[in-house]
Amino acid sequence: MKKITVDIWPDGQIRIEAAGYAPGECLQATKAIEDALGTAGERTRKLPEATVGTGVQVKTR
Amino acid sequence: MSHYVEIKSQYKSQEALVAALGGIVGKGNVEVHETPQPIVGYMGRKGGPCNIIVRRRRNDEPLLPSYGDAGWRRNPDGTFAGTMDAYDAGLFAALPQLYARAVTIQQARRQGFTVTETQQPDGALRLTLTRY
Repeated sequence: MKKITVDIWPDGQIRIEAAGYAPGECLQATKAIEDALGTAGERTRKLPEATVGTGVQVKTR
Repeated sequence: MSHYVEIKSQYKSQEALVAALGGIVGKGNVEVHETPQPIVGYMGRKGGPCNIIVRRRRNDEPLLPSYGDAGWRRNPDGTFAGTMDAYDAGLFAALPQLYARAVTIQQARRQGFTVTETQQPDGALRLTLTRY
């Protein structure tokens, strides 16, 4: 199942998270939504849980 | 693989902006003008012009408990910028969230997602988009 979670705070701050996509697909999946909403800021990639184990998030530059 | 990204919101979609304003002041109380029209501020001061307008009064009947009209003008880059009396800003405090909600639902439907909404304890609105 493909899943995109969009959290919207009252001040307009938005966070989008995509899950269930193959590597490389998730960026494309959210691009249309990101473009429609505004300007994307820093992007953080999460490795698959099996790789990370405890769900630690890894920041990429 | 998954990722998350934070977005700095901009009013880019006229359709979503009108829908969001309609959620605040009522659908029938949002004017849309291809040619920008003046707005009327506190004590009858002229402002604007704007493409999307929420009037304080219509036919001498009060529509909003505000000091003046509120308007949004389309910039050359396609984004919309709002103009209103500083004292009226609170009336439109929910606009950023309602706008982002409208845009997200619009995009989700275009891509065939099912959308569910939940309110988070910290005030955030969570839209969960799923597709098999």
